[in-house]
Amino acid sequence: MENFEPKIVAFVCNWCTYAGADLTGTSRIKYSANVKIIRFPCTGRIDFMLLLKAFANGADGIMVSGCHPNDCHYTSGNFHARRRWIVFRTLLDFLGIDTKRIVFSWVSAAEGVKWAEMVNNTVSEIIKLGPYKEYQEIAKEYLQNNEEDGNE
Amino acid sequence: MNKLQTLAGELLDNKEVSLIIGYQKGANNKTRAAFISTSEDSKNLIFDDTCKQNLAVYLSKKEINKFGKIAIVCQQTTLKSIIVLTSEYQLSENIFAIILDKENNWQCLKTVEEISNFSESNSQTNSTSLELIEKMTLEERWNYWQDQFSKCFKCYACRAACPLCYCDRCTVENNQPQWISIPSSKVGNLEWHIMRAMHLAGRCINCNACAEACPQGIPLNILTQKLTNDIFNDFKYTPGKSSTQTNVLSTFDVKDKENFIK
Repeated sequence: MENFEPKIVAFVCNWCTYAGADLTGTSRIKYSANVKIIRFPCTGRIDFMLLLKAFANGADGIMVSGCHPNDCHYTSGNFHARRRWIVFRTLLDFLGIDTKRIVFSWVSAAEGVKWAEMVNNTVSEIIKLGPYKEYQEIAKEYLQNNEEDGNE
Repeated sequence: MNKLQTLAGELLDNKEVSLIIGYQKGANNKTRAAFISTSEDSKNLIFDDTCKQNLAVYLSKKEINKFGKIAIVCQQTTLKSIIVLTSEYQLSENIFAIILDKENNWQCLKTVEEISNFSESNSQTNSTSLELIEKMTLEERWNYWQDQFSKCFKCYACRAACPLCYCDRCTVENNQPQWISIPSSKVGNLEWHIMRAMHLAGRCINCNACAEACPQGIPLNILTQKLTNDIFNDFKYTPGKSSTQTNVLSTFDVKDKENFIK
C-alpha cells in the first residue's frame, strides 16, 4: 500500500520514556510523526484494556515503553507490568492478534536517541505489516456508535 | 439414607455447620444445587455423574455467607476453587469440604490444610482442542475465535458460573467510561473474552464451569486453560496449589523473561 501512514499510539511512563521522548525533542532529533504519545504515571498503570481501545479506535500499531528494570520510580511497577505483558502477549497470539503490532521497550530518560530509533523502527515495521484491517473491520460498529454519541 | 445423606445429617444435627451446599434433583429430572439447613432435608442430597456444577461459586455470595459455617459437596475442582478463594481472602470462615475419597468413602475435610492435602495437583491440562488451535496459523486462529465469539450474546453466564468471578461490580457494568459495549458486538465480544481471560489468568483452576454454562457452546475454557499452561511454563506457578501463595500477576521475578522487550 502506497502512502500508508500508520497510526501508532505510544503508552509511556512519566518518569523514563516520557522524559526520554522529551530529550529527543530538546536534542532536536527528528523522528517519525506517526506516533501519538500518552503519558502514564508508570508502566504498571497501563491496563491491557487501554491497548485494546487503541486498536478499536484505529491504531495500526502500539508502543509500550517504560523504565529499565531496577529503574522504576515506584521500585517495581515495570516488573509487574512485564509479567502482565508476558501473559497478555500469549493470549493475544492465541486469539490470532499479531503481537508484532505491539512493541514493548525500555527507554530511559537519557535515551533520547533510542526513542527516536524505536519510533522509526516501529513505523517501518508497521508499514511492512500494513493497516490493521482485521481489527478495524470488527471495530467499525463501535466507532460509528461513538461518533453518533459525540464521544471521542 | 446413603452415606452422604447420613454425613450431612450428622453435621447439621451436631450444629457443626448451619448450611450444606450440595446437589439435588430438580425439575425435568435435571440436577440442581441444593441448599440444606435441616437434617430432614439432607435426604434430598444426591451425587452422581450429572453433578457437574462447581458449587464453590456460591461461597462468596452474601446471602450464603449469612449462614455462617458451611459445608459443601465437592469435586476435585471445587477443592481447588476453595483454595484459591482462601488465598484471595474471600472466605470469612473455614469451609467444610465433603468429598468422596478413592475408597469411595465420604470424607469431611475441616480445614484448608486438609483440603490442600486432599487436592490432587495437576499443573497442565491438555485438551485436544487446545492443541488443535495452537497448531493453527495466526489468521486461522483469528477466524476461529471471531467465529466463536460471533455467537456470544453477552448473557454473562460464564461469569455467573465461575467461582472466581466474584467482584461485586464488574468492569462490564461500569459505564463511566463504558469499557465494553452493552449489546453484543464484534469488538465488544472480543474485548469481553480477553478481559475475562486476563482477569482469570493465574487463577483459573480449569473446572470448565464457564464452558458448561455457555448456552452457545463457546469453548471459552480453552482460553484460560492456555493461560494456565503458559503461566506454568513461564513462572512455574500452579493456581490452587496452596492457600498461601500470592497471585502470579501480583508478584514478579527479577529474572522474568524479556526477550520480547526492545
